[in-house]
Amino acid sequence: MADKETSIYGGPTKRFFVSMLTRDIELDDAILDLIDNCVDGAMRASPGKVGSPEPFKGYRADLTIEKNSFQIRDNCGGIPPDYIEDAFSLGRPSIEKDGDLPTIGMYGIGMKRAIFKIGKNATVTSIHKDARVSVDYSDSWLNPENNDWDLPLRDVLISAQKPGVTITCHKLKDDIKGHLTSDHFLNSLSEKVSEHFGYIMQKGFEIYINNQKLKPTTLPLLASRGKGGIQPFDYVAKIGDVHVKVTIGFFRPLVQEREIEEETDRPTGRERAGISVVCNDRIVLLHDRTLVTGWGEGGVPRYHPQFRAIAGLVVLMSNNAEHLPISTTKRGLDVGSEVYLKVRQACVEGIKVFTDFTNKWKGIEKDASEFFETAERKDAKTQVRLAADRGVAVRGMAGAKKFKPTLPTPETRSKRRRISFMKDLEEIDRVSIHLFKEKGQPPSVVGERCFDRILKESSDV
Amino acid sequence: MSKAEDIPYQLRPNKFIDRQIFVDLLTKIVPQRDDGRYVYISMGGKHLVDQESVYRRVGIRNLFSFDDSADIVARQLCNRPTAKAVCKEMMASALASEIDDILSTFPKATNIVAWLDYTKRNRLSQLQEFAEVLKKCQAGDVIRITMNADDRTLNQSWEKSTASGPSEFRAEMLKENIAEFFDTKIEAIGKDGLPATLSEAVRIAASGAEEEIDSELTLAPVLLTSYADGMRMFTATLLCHNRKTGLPNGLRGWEFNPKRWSDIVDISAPDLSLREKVEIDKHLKKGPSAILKAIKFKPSSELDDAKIAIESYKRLHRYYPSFYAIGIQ
Repeated sequence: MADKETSIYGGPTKRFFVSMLTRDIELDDAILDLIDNCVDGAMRASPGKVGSPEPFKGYRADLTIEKNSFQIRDNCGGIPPDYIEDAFSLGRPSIEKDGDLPTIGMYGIGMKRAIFKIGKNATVTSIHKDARVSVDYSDSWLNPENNDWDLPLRDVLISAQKPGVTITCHKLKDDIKGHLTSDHFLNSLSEKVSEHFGYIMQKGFEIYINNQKLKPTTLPLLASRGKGGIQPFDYVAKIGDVHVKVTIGFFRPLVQEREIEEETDRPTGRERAGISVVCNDRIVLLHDRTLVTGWGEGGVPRYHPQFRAIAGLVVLMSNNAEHLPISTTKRGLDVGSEVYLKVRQACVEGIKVFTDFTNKWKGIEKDASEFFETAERKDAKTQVRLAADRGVAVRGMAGAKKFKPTLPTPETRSKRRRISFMKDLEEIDRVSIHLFKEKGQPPSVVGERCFDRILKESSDV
Repeated sequence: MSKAEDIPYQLRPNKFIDRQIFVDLLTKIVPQRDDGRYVYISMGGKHLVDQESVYRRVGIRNLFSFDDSADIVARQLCNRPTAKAVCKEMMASALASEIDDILSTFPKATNIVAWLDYTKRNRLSQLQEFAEVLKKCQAGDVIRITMNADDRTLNQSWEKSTASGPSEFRAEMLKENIAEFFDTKIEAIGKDGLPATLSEAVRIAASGAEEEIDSELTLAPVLLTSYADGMRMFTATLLCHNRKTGLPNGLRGWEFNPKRWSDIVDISAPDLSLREKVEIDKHLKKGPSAILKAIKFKPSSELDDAKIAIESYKRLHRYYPSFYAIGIQ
């Protein structure tokens, strides 16, 4: 007797997309996804200019966040007619259509997921020179129980709006309403947007939040004039069709013992140390201090507050976003990719230059201060060109070049050793009074004076 | 080595006035007949001057002071206003997690007035500690923070930086110092602009805390002050209240109640002898220029500063202290 064959529905449900997939992404990351789409639009609208200094000048994204509504509007050309169907389908990217443009939207999910995260309903209006359309995500369409997937597409007959896309959520979801409009969230969102799109803004793109123009945040590294002194490590390569630039160095003077002690107790300031990764001008990893960027691997020590002066930037550019090591959220790395494994090797080599320097000057950081005082700050992405101008070829990597700086070393370092020990505070004060006629001198000063005194006595014998 | 907290109050008239206004504020929030509902929590210092004032003028009997030094706590135990006042060796960073235990120490207590009185420049951890306490707030709680707002604490010369001027440099330095609490809209901080920037930082801290407390509650600024007895300081006092019921009646119309976060009361009391004070008091109904003309002396060598000092005195004269040396036989 033959088995009776039946079938069950194996497709997705509306609930999966509108209320479960949204849990995979934070609210601020969802908004960054929407800005990513604006930037992709600007790239499509200005083909051929991408390599110029300010290819995105004139393009902007405006976010208006109010008590009950959210809107993002750009002037980046709108959705081309042949992209429209993919733009509103779930999980159908238009990578092939972008050809040789360095766009980043490769999973076809960002805009929709952001809308589902933020709004109870939404309207997307796109004004393109060849197509003017509007799509409504109504309250009922967004109901997780409603499995009707059809979206009404309306032609926009008259519009004074410049070519671009406007997404408006007329009603905010209850769980994000208070969060989205709080001063605390808006402030941290502004900070995050300035950091994540700092390199796009550097190229002329403008982003406004509630009419406030954001300033780009980029990484400046210290570089001495001429040869010698402090210089960054710099590496350039082309791996497949991905252009790679790894630049690592000091962004501030060495951390001194007292600051490390304070930091052990409580945070003393903004943490900017670590390696950031930029893919097609967008930050996907910020200030990383883990194995992901090579800390604690290949002879590099694990991150420790004494390395708070070290920062770096990995820049990856490709016209084929699929070849970039980006995870689905666009804010994470695919660390197993071949491109990224080579990038991490360069990071390990670069970080080691500066951890070695830090260790060599440990305890005598003040002696190294002259190198930092005379150095100037140079933007890691646009102004540091050491590999291209003065680099040597990298064995086994055709076309790759690297500049590994020779940093100053303390003359007597090999004979210097640190002495440290713990004593009761009252006893330290007693010795401080004995030596300096007053208590309260720092323990390191008291300890050093004791040593110097005994050393002198031993020399006099 | 002399620290700010070691300087006696008679040499810090502005801090004295600031504290008097704060105590005045508490009389408008805390019920006049103490029903044991409130606990006053503060760092207190070795002399517990603020605890004494709150006990005498506001009537709060549930008093809790703390310090991370056992020596200071030993002196607090000697100076406490009542035998029931609790003095404990504790770090400020522990306060948020200790609030429930502190309240359980006092049988009828349900609300707190807490003052985090900082002097050092590690503002990031101070704002974080303050925010953690705010996240524990219930309606009626009053939380106050004092921070160092002296621009000399942003101590580096701007000429060596890439900043375009001193104001932009101050903004860069403070951003490094307070990280996520720095208002990203601020690009420059003028010479006397640090208190206003810290006020915005407190606003951001309060906004973050509001996301984690009952959605019906809000954290409103009820007193913002700035003063300098050497170092410039900034204080912010916040009241947690129900959005629907609004501020307590006693606070409505109170002259120091800020309408916005930029409404900071500048306490610049001039250094006056008793005779000078009496002389100015005779002309208090006049404007600052007319007073200066009438009294025939300037409380500050620069005319503009003298006018500001007179204006501040006019506004705050009822809080102005007169200290005398008294010999006890």
